[in-house]
Amino acid sequence: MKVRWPWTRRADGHDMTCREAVALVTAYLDGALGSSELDRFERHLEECPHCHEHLKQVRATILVAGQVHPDDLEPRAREDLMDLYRRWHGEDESG
Amino acid sequence: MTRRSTEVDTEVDLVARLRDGDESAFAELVERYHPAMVRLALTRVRSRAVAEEVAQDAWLGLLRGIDRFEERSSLRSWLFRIVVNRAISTGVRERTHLPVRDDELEHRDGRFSQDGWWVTPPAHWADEVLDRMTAPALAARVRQVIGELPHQQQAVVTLRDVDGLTSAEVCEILDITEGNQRVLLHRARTRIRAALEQEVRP
Repeated sequence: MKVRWPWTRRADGHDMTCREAVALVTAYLDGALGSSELDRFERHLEECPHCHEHLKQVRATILVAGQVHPDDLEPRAREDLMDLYRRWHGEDESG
Repeated sequence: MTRRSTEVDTEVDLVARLRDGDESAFAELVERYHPAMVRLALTRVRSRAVAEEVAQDAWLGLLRGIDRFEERSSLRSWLFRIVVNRAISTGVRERTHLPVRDDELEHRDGRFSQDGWWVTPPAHWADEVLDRMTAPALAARVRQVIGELPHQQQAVVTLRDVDGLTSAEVCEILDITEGNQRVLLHRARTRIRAALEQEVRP
């Protein structure tokens, strides 16, 4: 079987490829990798600037997603809901 | 951890006050959760007005059910589950999604050789995005791409990354396995990352 490895030190079949590392990013960020997989993942990241950048990009993506909505309740929605509460309580007590 | 347990303490306290008919407890919960509930409903219904109705309906469900609520799950998970169920049964929207094939995802995110190495390594833009994080153009693009995702991906990424819930909570709310949750999150983030890339490196 002929396998072409771009770097000779990657000739060890247990090393992780970039494709595998990219596929595991979400599990890694959730702390869901088993210890040996985590070890291989981290070793790959140390050696591979591209996957390192890719991970940084995924982290940046998550942070931007956390910024996209101002978390303010609209005054109109607040009023509607407080009305709902009072109506419900009125019915609850009279019924 | 501290934050989480404080959150739980406050929730227990709020539930007790709500049962006592304390209106300010309801107001506080609304303040905390309503915007996220509307976002969650929007993953299943088309219009904002309908999403508001679904969320209101869930609040009514909370008021009706609070005496039966058992603190086995968090109040938030319970409430958000009601939103999901109501939103699905409302069934108003059958949004037509742009089909996203997985090989397309792989291609966008990957560009890998047969051996699994990068053919076209990613351009470096993470730092630039972090510097421009609050730029309206980025937020708008991310909002748009989230809105175009298939609804399960949309729900998972909204709960996890927009609203910051844990994977355990999301699994409970959407009634999916952890593995399934991760696949959906991974696909959603892949799409959003690709959109950001286009935005900063057109």
